[in-house]
Amino acid sequence: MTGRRGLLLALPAAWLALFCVVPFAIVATISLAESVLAQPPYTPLLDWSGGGLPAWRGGLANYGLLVEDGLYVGALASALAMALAGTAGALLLGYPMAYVIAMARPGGRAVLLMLVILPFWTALLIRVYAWIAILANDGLLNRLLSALGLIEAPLALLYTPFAVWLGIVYGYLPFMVLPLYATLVRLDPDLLEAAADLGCRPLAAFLRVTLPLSMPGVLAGSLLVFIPAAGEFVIPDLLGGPDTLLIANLMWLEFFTNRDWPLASALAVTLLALLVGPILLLQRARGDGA
Amino acid sequence: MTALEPASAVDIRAVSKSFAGVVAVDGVSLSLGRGEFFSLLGPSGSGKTTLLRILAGLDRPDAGRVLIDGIDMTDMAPYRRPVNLMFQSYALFPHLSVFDNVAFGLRREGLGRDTVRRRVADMLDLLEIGPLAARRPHQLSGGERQRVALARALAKQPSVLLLDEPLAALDRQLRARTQLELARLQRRVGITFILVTHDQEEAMTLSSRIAVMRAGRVVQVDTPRMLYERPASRYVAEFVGTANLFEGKVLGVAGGLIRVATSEGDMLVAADGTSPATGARVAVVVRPEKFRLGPVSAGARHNRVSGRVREVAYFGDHTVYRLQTAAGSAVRLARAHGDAAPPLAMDAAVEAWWPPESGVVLVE
Repeated sequence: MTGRRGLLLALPAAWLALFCVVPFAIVATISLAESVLAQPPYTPLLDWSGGGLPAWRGGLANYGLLVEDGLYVGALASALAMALAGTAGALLLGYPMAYVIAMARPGGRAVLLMLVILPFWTALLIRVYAWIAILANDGLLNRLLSALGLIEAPLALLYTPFAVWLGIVYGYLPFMVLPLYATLVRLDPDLLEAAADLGCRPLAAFLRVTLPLSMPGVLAGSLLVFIPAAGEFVIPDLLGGPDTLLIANLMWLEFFTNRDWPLASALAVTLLALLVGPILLLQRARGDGA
Repeated sequence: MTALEPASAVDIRAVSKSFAGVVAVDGVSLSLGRGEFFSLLGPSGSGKTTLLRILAGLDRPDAGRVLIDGIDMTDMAPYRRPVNLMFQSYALFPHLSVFDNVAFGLRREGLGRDTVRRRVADMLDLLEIGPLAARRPHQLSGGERQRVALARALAKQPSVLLLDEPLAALDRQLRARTQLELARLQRRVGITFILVTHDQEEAMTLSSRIAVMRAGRVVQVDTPRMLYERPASRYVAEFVGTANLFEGKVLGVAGGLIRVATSEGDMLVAADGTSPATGARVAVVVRPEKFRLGPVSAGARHNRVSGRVREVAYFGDHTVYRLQTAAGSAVRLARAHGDAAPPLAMDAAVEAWWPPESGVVLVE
């Protein structure tokens, strides 16, 4: 019995070790090295040339550079701000959607859920390209607005922070809707009737009963959107302009254009550290609430 | 309604309600006095819960009117009604403490902090759950939750308190104790209680009056005693308490007695003001404890059954025997303990009889 259980636990542990811990250890190691024009493009941490005991050549210089250079701090801040704004947008849009789906009849629910999941059947890249066709100066939206006589000149929508925000909200909406739906559908309808019976109008009942009881879903959905959105690369790369250089794009630049692997690794480690903190805090808050 | 007529606490006038073509409540009219402990008794699907939800405003009737304290509430939203419902599931808010659950309705009235605190404290004291004020519902036992739900529904001092199977989730011992407490509580607060239950014993114990429901209709409204002693239909006779039913035909009415021919011989039943037509098919109802044992007094040849004991069920204070008669009927007979008479043995031959005023004749 214990042997089988041990095996069951060993599998995910091995998976985590192989695909999460080991890669992270490699990245963290590289972040301590120096960039060189060589193959691989970074210095080894241990220098064996002196004979006998190896000398330690690692350092935190890359991290110092990140703090000193406003470019990195700015990209990090704008990535977190964009992720936050995207999460807020997905929440404001996703909550009513999840609510309507949860309140629909069981037959209708399946159809509506399918509609939420359906876009996943197409690659994100293609769906983001579709937004280019919509938002471009001669795109669908601008042509529609001028045909309606609402605008004289086309609006500059593409390659703006707004376009990136829209892309993030659009791309991550299902991650918000699904956990919210799962929470709302479990809500005991008796509780809302009890609230009405005790003098709550529908809005008050929502604010005092539905909303507080759906907070686990709000937290889960927000984390599921915020974390990947903070490291989002494709959407800002395709829809953003030069003023929307997010942290992921900067990492890409450092890795592939500047070939500064140590600095890019330091960026990656920093982003992870910044995200883990709030996640742990939220997990603890949820643990208390349950 | 004329001005002279005193407004009853609740007036239900020809209320009907269907769900997707299935009739749940069918033309029910009831009038309840103030301070009454009224029960809606019936099996599941008899429409009693729907009727309760219509009173609470959670369901809207298709036809008919609902008046509370003489005011038409038919189209009034639940949050405006002077009525509170204690849910069968209790429906306590899981994210709020016991205190906040009980305070919930009072805060919606916009009462001041101190008033709310005082009234919640009074409620918690009344139901003896003061020490639980800071707990969350999931930290409470079933009995404690039941009290919190009751406190929450009573806190707003409604004109009418509606209780949907309030004791169904409690175990037997706790249920018996809570029944007595509920009756005491109702006398103390003086609010009209309407209780929905499928448990005839619960309805009998608690209520001043009971409406027996069947398939969306009220079949009889009466005091517990009258429902038991004078059931108006076979359905009520069998649903409330245990009944022996003897099918037969009316031979005639004479001297205040109805003579009925049954498979167990002729029976004489007190007419009690009724006079069914000669030849009418009827059922004679005799409650198990109305039987007397022993040879029938000389001369009396009616209202007697004789048979053998086939089943014995011991209940502590009384024993119920099932007799198999020579004519093939099964007769249930109850004997209280405490008298000197020895218990009846299995397969013993028994002769029993009952006086004419102990029976009821039901016309089919």
